[in-house]
Amino acid sequence: MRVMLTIARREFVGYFITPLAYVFLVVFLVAAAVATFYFGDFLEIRQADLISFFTFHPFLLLVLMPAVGMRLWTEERRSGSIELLMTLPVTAWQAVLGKFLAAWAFAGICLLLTFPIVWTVNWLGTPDNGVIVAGYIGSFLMAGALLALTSCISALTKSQVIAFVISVVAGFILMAMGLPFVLDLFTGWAPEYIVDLIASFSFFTHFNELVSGIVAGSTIVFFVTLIGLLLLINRQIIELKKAG
Amino acid sequence: MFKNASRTTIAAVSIALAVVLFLSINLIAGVTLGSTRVDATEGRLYSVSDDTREVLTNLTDPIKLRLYLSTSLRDQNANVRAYSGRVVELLRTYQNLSGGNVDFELINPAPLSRDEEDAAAFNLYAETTGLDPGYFGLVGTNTTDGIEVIPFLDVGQESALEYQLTRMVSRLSKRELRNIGIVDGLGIMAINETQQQRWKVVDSLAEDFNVLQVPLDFTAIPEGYDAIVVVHPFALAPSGVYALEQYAMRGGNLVIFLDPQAEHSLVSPTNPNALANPDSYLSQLMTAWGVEMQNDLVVADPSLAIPIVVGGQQGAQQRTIDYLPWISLNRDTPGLFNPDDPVTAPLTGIMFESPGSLRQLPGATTTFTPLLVTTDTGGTITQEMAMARNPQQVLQNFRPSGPQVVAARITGRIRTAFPEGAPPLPEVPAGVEVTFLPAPELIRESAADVNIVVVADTDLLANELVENNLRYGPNNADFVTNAIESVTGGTTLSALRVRNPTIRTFDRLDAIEQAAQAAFEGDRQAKIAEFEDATRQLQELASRSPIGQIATLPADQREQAAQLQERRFELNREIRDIEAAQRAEIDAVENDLRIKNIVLVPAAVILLGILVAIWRRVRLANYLRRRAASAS
Repeated sequence: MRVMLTIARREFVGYFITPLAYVFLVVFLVAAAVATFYFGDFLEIRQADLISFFTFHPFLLLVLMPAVGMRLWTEERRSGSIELLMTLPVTAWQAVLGKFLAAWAFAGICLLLTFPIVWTVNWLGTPDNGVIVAGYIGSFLMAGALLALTSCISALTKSQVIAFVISVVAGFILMAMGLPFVLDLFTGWAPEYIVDLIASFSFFTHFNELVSGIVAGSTIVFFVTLIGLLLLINRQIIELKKAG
Repeated sequence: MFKNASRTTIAAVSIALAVVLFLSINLIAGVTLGSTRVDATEGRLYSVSDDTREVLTNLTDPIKLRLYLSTSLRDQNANVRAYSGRVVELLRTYQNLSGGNVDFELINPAPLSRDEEDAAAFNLYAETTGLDPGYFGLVGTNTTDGIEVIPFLDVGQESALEYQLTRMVSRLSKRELRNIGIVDGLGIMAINETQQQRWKVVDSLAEDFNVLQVPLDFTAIPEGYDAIVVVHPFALAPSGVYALEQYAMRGGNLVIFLDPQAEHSLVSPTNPNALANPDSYLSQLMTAWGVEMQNDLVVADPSLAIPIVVGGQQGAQQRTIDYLPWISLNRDTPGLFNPDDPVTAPLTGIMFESPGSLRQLPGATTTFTPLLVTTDTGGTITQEMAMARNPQQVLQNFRPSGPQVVAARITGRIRTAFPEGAPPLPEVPAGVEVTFLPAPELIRESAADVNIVVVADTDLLANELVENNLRYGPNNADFVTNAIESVTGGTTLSALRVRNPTIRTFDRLDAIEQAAQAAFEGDRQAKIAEFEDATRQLQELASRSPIGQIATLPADQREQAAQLQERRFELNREIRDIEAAQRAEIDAVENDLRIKNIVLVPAAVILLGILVAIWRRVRLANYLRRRAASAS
């Protein structure tokens, strides 16, 4: 645990000594605010909620989380530092979890820094802040799942670009599973429970529940087990690469 | 065994196992945690209320609920998919809570199947967005041929879903219906001589009560009624009024519908443009109870007015215009419904036509609780003006005077309006055989608190108003049911609140906008009037020319016309300027918010980044300097 937290801390601090982290933060914050005000018509709709804000989170996170996570393992592999890391008294689990937690914490900082919108909506009206908290939980969990996915994929390649592109595509598939055009591919021939099952693995289905204010047990289980599964695969890949 | 297996195989197998574990955990979680959820909303929008629990646990006989949901419809529309999930989950919760008495079945009525025939036979509404009809309706049946149908579960009515479902279950449950007697001065029960059908509101009441009619010449309320509903009592004999009072004295439950302008009452047989009996006040009783429906005054409210179509005759242009005494109270406007009273708490909207204004009289011994009120812009117009039904005239003459109460609850002790004792029984014309019940013995003061609901309108009972409002959820008919249930103190259903995903607006922007409007509106109106005046003068000038052309007029008149034209341009620009000024403050606030949200934090982040970079550079330089120093 201590080792894992040390790795997490080192990685987390590492984000802020390169200009990259600041660029990500600024891009995320500006994009989120612009989307809310200009595409989401936040002020025109005049509803004291943050639906216009959260609506765009899946898309923002889909692009930005792979950008944050793409160098998690590609760098280590490209520079060969992965061999060095693995000669240290550190297990693959500790390394995987530590790096993931650092990235997730960074995502958390991104979300926390959107606080002006919460202040704004509370200044303008009396929103249901319980629903807003649930929305943030949804965004944070989705960011975690996307980061775990990216981390896993970044362990497979030495190229950040490839890691980024594949992560975005894979993330998109996970999101789109609940959308009609994907389900249509199955409705014709697959039994209904399969279709429902596919829909239940969609990020959107779970995220939308949270944004409307429902923190369902099944949603939490879904995100937590998905993150766990992806990190486990990540660990297996690292173990293999280390040996190979 | 694993010794020989390669690391890759072990990795692959463990990943495969993990995937299987992931899928099974989520499958199990989906089934077992289906309803385990934390409801983070302030109004607990997604939780089942105690009232529903009570209805479900008190069930004694089986009820079957069939949800007809076309998968084609569900898969086409993400909203329907999400909402149907919620409906299914809620129905499963009902099933679980009912101790086996509610049997829930989900049916996909495939096109041309037996199920689709059934769905059509139950009159479910079929939405046709694709090729096939899409059903999303609920049918409830019990063991004694009782059928209840919700033709289509509209996503927009999500807030009233629990109310709808629980009402369905409650109506299907075998329970003893209470008897209500209707004193009908309006014809809602379909008086034989008019050959009308009974009104829809009575059909709705008949689902929850045994609806009986009390003859208009009653002299006493017989035993056996759980409540008496008095509708438009314009011609009650003193003996009838006395009987009502004494019924209330003895703890009888009353719901009274009065009206200063009963637009749906019978038309006068002599004058087709007038009503035979437009108003009913029951003032003798009301006064004794410390309440008054103000004489000859009709409530109006521009904020709640219903637009009506006027013109269209004799070549006149058709247009819509707000008719102030027809008002629609909607939950979107806060403060109209008493949120603490079970009668009004579940309502989403209610409509009135020319209601009266209720108020408490000074020195009343009773408590007067408003149930439905207008906004601050409410006021009254004369009955005469309401009778003329001229929207333009109403608009011109109306002056707001503050919120008006259109329905109220009266509680507490009452004193008799007949201190002299019972009035004589009605005289019976010779040759007619009628036996009246003897007048009840006078009780001067009620022994216990009374609980009476008074509504200052009868038009809300009319079919148009009951049906018009239907798609907005619980409405006029529900209001009447709730009012009766609340005085009988019966079921808990009326206490089942509609947990609206309450509409929350930007109060601050609204306030700024209103202030700006108020500050400039007078000025703007004056300019508009002046503009219209100039236009009229111009037209008048043009009409002096035989061919309607100003150019053909004498020079001095042409000069005048040019000045007027110039003035119109000026005024037009000034009106636009005023309108821009009205917008200015809002625009400034909105821009300020945009900048704060889009620029502020990112700028701080950039600044922090620069500071960190400088600090690191300084630290590195110091370090190098120290190293160089120690090396030398």
